[in-house]
Amino acid sequence: MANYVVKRLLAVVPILFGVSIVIFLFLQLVPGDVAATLLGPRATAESIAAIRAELGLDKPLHEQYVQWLFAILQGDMGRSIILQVPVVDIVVPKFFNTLILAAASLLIAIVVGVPVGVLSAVHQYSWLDRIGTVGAVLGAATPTFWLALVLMYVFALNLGWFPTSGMYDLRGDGGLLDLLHHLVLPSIATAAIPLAVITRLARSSTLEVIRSDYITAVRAKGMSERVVVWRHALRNALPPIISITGLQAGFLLGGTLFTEVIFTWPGIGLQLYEAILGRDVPLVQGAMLFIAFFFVLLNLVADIIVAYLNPKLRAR
Amino acid sequence: MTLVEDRGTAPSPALRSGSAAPLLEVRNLSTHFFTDRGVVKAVDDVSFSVAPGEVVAVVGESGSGKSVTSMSIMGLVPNPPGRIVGGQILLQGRDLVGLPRKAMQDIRGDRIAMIFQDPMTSLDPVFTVEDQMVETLRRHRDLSRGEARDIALETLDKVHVPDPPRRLKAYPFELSGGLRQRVMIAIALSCQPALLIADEPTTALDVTVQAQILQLLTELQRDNGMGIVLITHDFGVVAQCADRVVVMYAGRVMETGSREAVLQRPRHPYTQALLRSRPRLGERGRLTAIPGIPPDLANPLPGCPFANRCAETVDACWAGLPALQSVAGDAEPGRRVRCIRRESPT
Amino acid sequence: MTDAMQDFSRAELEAGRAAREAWEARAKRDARKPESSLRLLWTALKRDKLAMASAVFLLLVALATIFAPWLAPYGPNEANPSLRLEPPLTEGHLLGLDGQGRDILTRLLYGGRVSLPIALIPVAIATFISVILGLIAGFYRKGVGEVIMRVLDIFYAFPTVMLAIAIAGILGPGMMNVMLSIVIVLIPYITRVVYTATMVVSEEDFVQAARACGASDTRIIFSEVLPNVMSPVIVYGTTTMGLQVVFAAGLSFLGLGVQPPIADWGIMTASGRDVLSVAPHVSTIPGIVLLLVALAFNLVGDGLRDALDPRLRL
Repeated sequence: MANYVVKRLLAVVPILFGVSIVIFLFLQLVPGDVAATLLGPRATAESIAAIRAELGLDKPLHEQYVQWLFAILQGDMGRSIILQVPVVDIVVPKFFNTLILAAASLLIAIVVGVPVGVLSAVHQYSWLDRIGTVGAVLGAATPTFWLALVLMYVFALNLGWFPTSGMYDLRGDGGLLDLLHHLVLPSIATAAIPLAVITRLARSSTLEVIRSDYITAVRAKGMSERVVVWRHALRNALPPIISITGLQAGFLLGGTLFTEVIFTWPGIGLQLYEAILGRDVPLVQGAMLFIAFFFVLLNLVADIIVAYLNPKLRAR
Repeated sequence: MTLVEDRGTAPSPALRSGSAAPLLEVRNLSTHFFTDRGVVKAVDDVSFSVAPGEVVAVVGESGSGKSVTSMSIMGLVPNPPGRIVGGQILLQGRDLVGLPRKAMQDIRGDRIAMIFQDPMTSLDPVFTVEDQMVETLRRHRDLSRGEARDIALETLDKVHVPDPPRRLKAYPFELSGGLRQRVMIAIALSCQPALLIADEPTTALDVTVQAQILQLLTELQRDNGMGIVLITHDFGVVAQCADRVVVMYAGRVMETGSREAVLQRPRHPYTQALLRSRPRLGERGRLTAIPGIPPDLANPLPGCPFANRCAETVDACWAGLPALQSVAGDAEPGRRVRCIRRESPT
Repeated sequence: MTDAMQDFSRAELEAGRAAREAWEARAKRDARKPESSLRLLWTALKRDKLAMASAVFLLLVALATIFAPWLAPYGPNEANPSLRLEPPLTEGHLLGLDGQGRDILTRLLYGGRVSLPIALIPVAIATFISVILGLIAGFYRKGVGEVIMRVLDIFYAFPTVMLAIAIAGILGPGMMNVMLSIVIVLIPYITRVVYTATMVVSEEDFVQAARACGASDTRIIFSEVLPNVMSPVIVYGTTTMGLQVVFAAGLSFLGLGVQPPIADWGIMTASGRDVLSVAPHVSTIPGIVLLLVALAFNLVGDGLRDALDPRLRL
C-alpha cells in the first residue's frame, strides 16, 4: 500500500510539470503583441516597455519559463494586471468560496445519486429505475446555465424563497444560516450533471456486481436483501463510483463557473471569467494552476481510496 | 403392450424401499423466463424427490434446465424475467413455492444450502473468510461473534482446510481454487442443512482436486445424513457418488432411475448419447460428441425436444411430446423414460 | 421384436412430418439472420424506439435549421418593437418575441445554423485526430505511444470546462476560437477511448494471425484494428456531440463565443437574463431546445452502445 501511494505521488510530479508548461504557454496564445494587448488601446510606449520588463517578455521563451516557474514555487504567482494585487491574495480566498459551492453540490450528487443508482440496479425495470434512468439522462443533457436561470426565476424571483445572488446578505450577520440560504440554488444547479453521472455509474456498476456469482451465493446463505445490497453489492460496486466521484469533484472546480457567473457567487470561476474578459493573463494563469493542482490532488486521493478498498492492493 | 401410462403428473414417491418420507419433493415444477423473444420454458413439468441421506444427480448439457431447477429450489430465480409458474417444491412436507420472502430467507443457508460451480467467483472478494462465515452463522443462529468464530474454525477443520486460524483471516484471492471450494462447502455446512444443492461443484477444479472434493462431499453426507441434489453434466461424477439420476434435456426430465439402471441400462437415446460422449480413462475408442446443437429455446420443437439430434428419430417423434413412462421389463420403482421408441432394440 | 414404426398410426406419422417440416423451416430462417454487423446494428437500433425517435428528431432539427430562410416566418433581425417581450402563442409568433421585438421561433431556426456546426464540426475534427493518435499509441505502446499518452495525461489534469473557457477566452471571441478550444479539450478523451480499444483488439487472435501472415503494420491497423475500434468511438462521439452543443452555447452565453448580432442559442439565452422576471420565455425557450438536442444525442448514443455491444453498458 505504501509503495502504491509513493508510486502514484511520483507519477504526479511530471504531470504537474507538464501542467505548468501548458499554463505558461497560455501567455503566448494572446493574439498580437502581448504587452500592448494587456494594456489596451491607451497604452503608452513606456508602459508597454515596463510591462515587458515585468513579465520578462524581452527574454527567450525558456528563460521566461524558468523564471516564472521559480517564482511560482516560491508562492509568487505574479500580480494581477487589472487589480494590481498579488495573484495569490485573490486566488486563495476565491478558491475557498468555490470549494464551499463544489462541496455542497458534490454532497447532493453523492447523497442522492448513489442510493438511487444502487436501488435502480437492484430493482431493475421498476418505477424507481425508470425515474432514475430518465432523470439521469435528462440531468446529463441539462445546460447548467439554463437550469440556473430556471431555478432563479422560479425560486428566487417568483416565489422569493431564496436570494438571487451573492454568498451573504449585505445587511445580514454573515452567519452559517445565511450562507446556506444563499447556497441552495447555486449548489442544486451545479449538482445536476455530477448527480446524473454518479447515478448512472452507480447503477451500471451495481448491475454488474448484482449479477455476479458471489451475490447469488450471499443470497443463498439466506442474508436479507438489506445486507446483500448495502454490504456486499455496494462494497464491491464502490471503486468505480469513487473514481468517477473524484473526477466529478475535479470537474466541479471548473464547472461551477456558469453558476458562479449567474448567481454572482464570488468564487474562482467568476474570478477566472472576469480575468479572461479583462485579459488579465497572470490572474488566469494563477487561477488555472490552482484549479489544476487541486484537480490532480483529488484524483490522486480517489485512486488511493480505491486501492485501499481492494484487499489485493492493500496487502502489497 | 404392457406399458403403464404415467404422464408424470402424479407425485413419484418411488424411493428406495424402506426409506423415510422424502426430504425434498419437487412436483411438476415449471419455471419460465419471459423475454423479448418470447417465453422460454427453462424448466417444464419437472418432478423428482430426494430422501434423507440420498444423493440425487440431475444431469444434462448446459441449457438443459438443471441449474434453473436448483435456483427454483433455492427461490433465487431472477425475477423479472424468470418466475415459477407452476408446481410445488416440498421441503419436509412444506411447500416453498410462494413462501414469503422473509420465510424463504430463513430457510436458505439454514435448512437448504448451496455450493456453486466456480469457487473463484462465488466468494465475495472484499471480505475475509471469517467475515463471510460468521455472517452466515449469526444470520441463522443466536451467536456472539466469538462463538460464531469457534464454529467456523470447527467447520473449516471438518472440511479438511489446513491451518484454519490462518485461513479464517484470509481474503479469497489468497486461497487456491480447491481451498476456496472447501471454504464454500464449510459456509454451506456451517448451519447443518438438511439439504445441500451442489451446482457443478467440481467443474472448475483440477482433476485431482475434483476427486478430493467429491470424496469430501460423500463423506460429509454420510456423516450428517444430509440429502444432496448434485447438478452435473459429468457422468464420472454421477458414477462416483449418486444414488439416483434424473436426466434433463430442454427443461424436461427425459429419464430417471437408480445409478446402476441409468448408467448400465440407459434407455433414452439422449442418455445413451451423453454416456457415449463421456471420455473414459484407460479406454480406447472414439469420443463421440452428440451431433447437432442444443435446442434453441426460442424455437422449441413441436414433439420430442431431442428429435432433431436423435439418431433414431422417426416422423412420429415430432407429432407430440412423449410421456414419461415406466420402462417395460425394468421392475425398478421410479424408473421412467420419455421416448416413444423405448420399445425398439438398443 | 417388431419394428416400432408399425406402432404409429398414419395420422401420427403425417402430423409428425408436417410439424418437422415447419420447425426445420423456422430453424433455417433463424440461422440465416445474423449477416453483417451493420445489419445487426440496424435491427437492434430499429427495436430501440427511443433512439430512433431521437435520431429522427435530430434530423428534423438539422433540416429545419438548414432551410431556415424558407421556413422562418420572419427575418432573423426583423423587429416589431410594439410586441416586445410578448409571451408565446401571441398571434403570428408561436414562441413569443424577445426584448427587441424579434420572433423567437425565427431566431431559433437561424440560431441552429451556428449552434449545431460550432459543436459538431470540432467533434468530427477531434475524432479524426484522436483516431489516428489512439491507433498509433495503442499499437506502438512503447516509444511513440508512451509519449502520446503522457502528453495527453497533462491535459487530463484540467477540468474540461475551465480549460476550454480559458483557451477560447484568451484567444478572443469568435466562432473559430470556440471550435479550436473544443477540439483541444476533446482530443485527450477520445484518444483514450481509441487507445483502450486498440490495445484490446491488438491482442485478439485475428490480429496476431494477420501479423503472423506477414501483413504490414499499416495494413493491420487499417484493415484489422480500425474497423473494430470504430464502435466505441462512434458511441462516445455521438454522446459527446450533445454535450458540446450545450457547451458551445455556454461559451456564447458567457460572451466568449460568437458575437451579436449573429445569434446562437447561447446568446439568445443570455439576452433574456435581464428580463427574466418579466419575460422568462426569452431565456428558457432556447435552453429547452438545447436540452432536447443534447438529450436526443445522448439517447442515440445510448441506443448505439446497446446495439453494438450489450455488455458495454456504462
